[in-house]
Amino acid sequence: MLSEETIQEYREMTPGERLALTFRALEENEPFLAYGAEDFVRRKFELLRRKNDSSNNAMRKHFGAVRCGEPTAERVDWESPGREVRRRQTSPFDESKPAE
Amino acid sequence: MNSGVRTGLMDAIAAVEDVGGQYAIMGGLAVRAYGIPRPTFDVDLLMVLDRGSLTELFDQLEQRGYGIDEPYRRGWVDEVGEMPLVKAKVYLQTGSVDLDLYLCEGDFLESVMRRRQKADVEGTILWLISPEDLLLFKLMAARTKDWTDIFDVLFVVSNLDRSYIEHWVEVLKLTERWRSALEKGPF
Repeated sequence: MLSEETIQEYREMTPGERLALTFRALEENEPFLAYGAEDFVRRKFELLRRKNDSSNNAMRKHFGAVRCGEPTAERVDWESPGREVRRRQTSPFDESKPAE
Repeated sequence: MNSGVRTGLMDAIAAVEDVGGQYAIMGGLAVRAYGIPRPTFDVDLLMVLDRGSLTELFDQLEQRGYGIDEPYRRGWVDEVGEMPLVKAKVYLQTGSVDLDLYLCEGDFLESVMRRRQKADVEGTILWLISPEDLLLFKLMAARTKDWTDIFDVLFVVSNLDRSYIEHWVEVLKLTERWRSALEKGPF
């Protein structure tokens, strides 16, 4: 669980700064992908590929249905993200642009 | 072998620009840029590129050491969901991760590209899709992990253009999901 101070620091960063931190974390993590027996490593890469494809497929399935005028799963398949949702004190929206 | 995901991304961007295309980073890397930084191996680009230039792009990528599967080489484009996609493989030390390259076709994706934003990453300028468009993509996917990403972005980013989101929420039939994000979100 991230501390309030760390989260606040992230919020104050620019997207470029957060992306730079992400790249650094990636570089630190990449060697761990190679750890383990050959088959285990192969399965780790396969799992990564499946996760990425799953996200893309879910998005494309919805987009395609809308474009073709087919019914979409408008209902919300809500599941808890598995941790408490962090609360913020201010609106995330630009209040100078009223909602339509 | 390439020396990592970051290098893979930068090489892909250079290849797209070398063949006269434009790009915007989407997917996991965009989520990290607008949310909580942590590692991701999800490398997706939206690119403005004529289909006729794909062969040239693949040549550029292969020259830089990336893999292109034969069907893409022969001109196949994955058209599922009317979001045309081609893939390249970024080879790491012990395996490969996919680099997903979406072709910018259609009014929504063209809008996404028009609204792309610059990010200064340690002196290098990269183009990202906007946080509003990232939320729309995540609302379309709407798996448990996507909800976590939605809440992270809503928690971290300020000054979101609500009217833009609500226009596309309507068009993309995401009204219920957006309502749920607002009800259960971080405010």
